[in-house]
Amino acid sequence: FDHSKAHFYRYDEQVSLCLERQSSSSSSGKDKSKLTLQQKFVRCSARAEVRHLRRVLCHRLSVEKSQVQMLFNNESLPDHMTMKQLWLSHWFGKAQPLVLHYTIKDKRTR
Amino acid sequence: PDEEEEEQREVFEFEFSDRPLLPCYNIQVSLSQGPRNWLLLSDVLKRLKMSARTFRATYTNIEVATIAEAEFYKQASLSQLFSSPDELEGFLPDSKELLDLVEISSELVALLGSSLECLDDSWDPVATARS
Repeated sequence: FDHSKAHFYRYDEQVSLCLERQSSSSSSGKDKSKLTLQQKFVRCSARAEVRHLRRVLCHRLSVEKSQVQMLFNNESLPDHMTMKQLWLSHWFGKAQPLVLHYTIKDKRTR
Repeated sequence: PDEEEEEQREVFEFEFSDRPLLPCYNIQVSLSQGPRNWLLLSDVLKRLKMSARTFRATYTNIEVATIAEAEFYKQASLSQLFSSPDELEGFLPDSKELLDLVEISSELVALLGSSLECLDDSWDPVATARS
């Protein structure tokens, strides 16, 4: 068959994620809802990396990249970790979706 | 369509939904093309609260592919992402029944109420909000 498109990310295995906001006590109610994803269920290529997810989150929530941190079990995830690595190391044997947390740091406290 | 495909080369697509996403299976349905990502038509119909007949009549451009359940099971169970015993529980490994599949596309994503966020190599979001 046509191998020229076989490498497209869209044809990769997909991972199903649930992105929950880990809120800080300092955020006010208004900020909290503005900085929380309304569509928290996400599907993407297993080759997508944590940094890609962060970038997309920044765009969705209109914040700067440095404000977003991705966490699993309260531990910060390395930027270059792929979703597949994450799945195999932290979620193998469990049902979809993989639950990740994110925090939005206050711009002023950077 | 070729140009469109070319544009989408090396673009990461992120599908966002406020409801749990339907299971997606990376399956090769024909020898003429590589693996693609599919949803079960039955899952889609349930979510849309629509009959198969209405779906096929309304969305004539959305192709429905078929695969034997045994072959579907064989391929799906090879995935390390389907490592939970519950995920493929409803499927019969030896069944000769045919399953209907629909390929994930921007149209289907929008139909299901999700939105797409795309990221190109320069890290710029290239297209958004199709819902």
